[in-house]
Amino acid sequence: MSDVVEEEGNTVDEAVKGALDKLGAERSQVKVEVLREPSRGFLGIGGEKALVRVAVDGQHVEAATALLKAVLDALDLEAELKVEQKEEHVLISIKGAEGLGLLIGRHGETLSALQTVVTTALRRLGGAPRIIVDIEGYRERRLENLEKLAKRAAEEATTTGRPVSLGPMNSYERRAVHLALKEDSEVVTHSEGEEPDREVVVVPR
Amino acid sequence: MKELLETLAKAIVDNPDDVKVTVVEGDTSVILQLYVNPDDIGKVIGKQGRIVKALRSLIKAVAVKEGKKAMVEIID
Repeated sequence: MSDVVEEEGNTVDEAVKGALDKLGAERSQVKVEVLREPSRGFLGIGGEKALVRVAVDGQHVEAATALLKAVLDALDLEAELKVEQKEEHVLISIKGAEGLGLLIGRHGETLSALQTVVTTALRRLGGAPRIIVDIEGYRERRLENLEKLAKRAAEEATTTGRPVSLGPMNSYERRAVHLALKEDSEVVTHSEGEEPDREVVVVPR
Repeated sequence: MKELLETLAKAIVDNPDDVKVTVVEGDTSVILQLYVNPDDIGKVIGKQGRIVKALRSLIKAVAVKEGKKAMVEIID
């Protein structure tokens, strides 16, 4: 599956809609590249329409789903896979089977392993959209917890005037912590150490 | 377990046709021997062993479910 269409429109949105009609695809199934932003020109002269390239991108999602199904089969789990297009990535959620905790693992270790294998496999296909795998909302909950943890660490760093280390985390989790404290004017964050023990340190300004 | 390791390894390497897994089965433990094309050895190991660690951890999950201990060896 790899259909590509270039389409013009008065706005980027309009161009994308036109392209989707031609492809018979939905927004969640495609990758959009804006080739030209629309411009007004002067008094209606010299204006240009928006130009987009829209590509059906089922290949990566299909490959990822196939791998996940193989893992679920091996574990004898009948779970549901839900694919959602998010702003920066495609989210594949695994839901609805007893015993999925086994696939999350201690501190999400097995989920991380699953993500590593999926990401590595997709990299071979080239130009991949970022695909994130989640199980029973584990990542979402973890992200919320990380935000709380980050805020507490920031408070501690500010009141004690000392740096606070948050313990080893994977890159996805470290990023979440950096983002959570990006706007905080009282502290700065950086990462220290080597994988897999790399950790975020929150330092008072 | 064997099929899963095969499927995952095939998805990662450049020469999927050369992927083979043999199983040495004991009473409580299983050894999975993963054969890949010599050019793909680095791929299945990964930087600092990241990939092989991920493969082991997924195989371990299956083994736990089957009540066994599993080991994954890469054979060159």
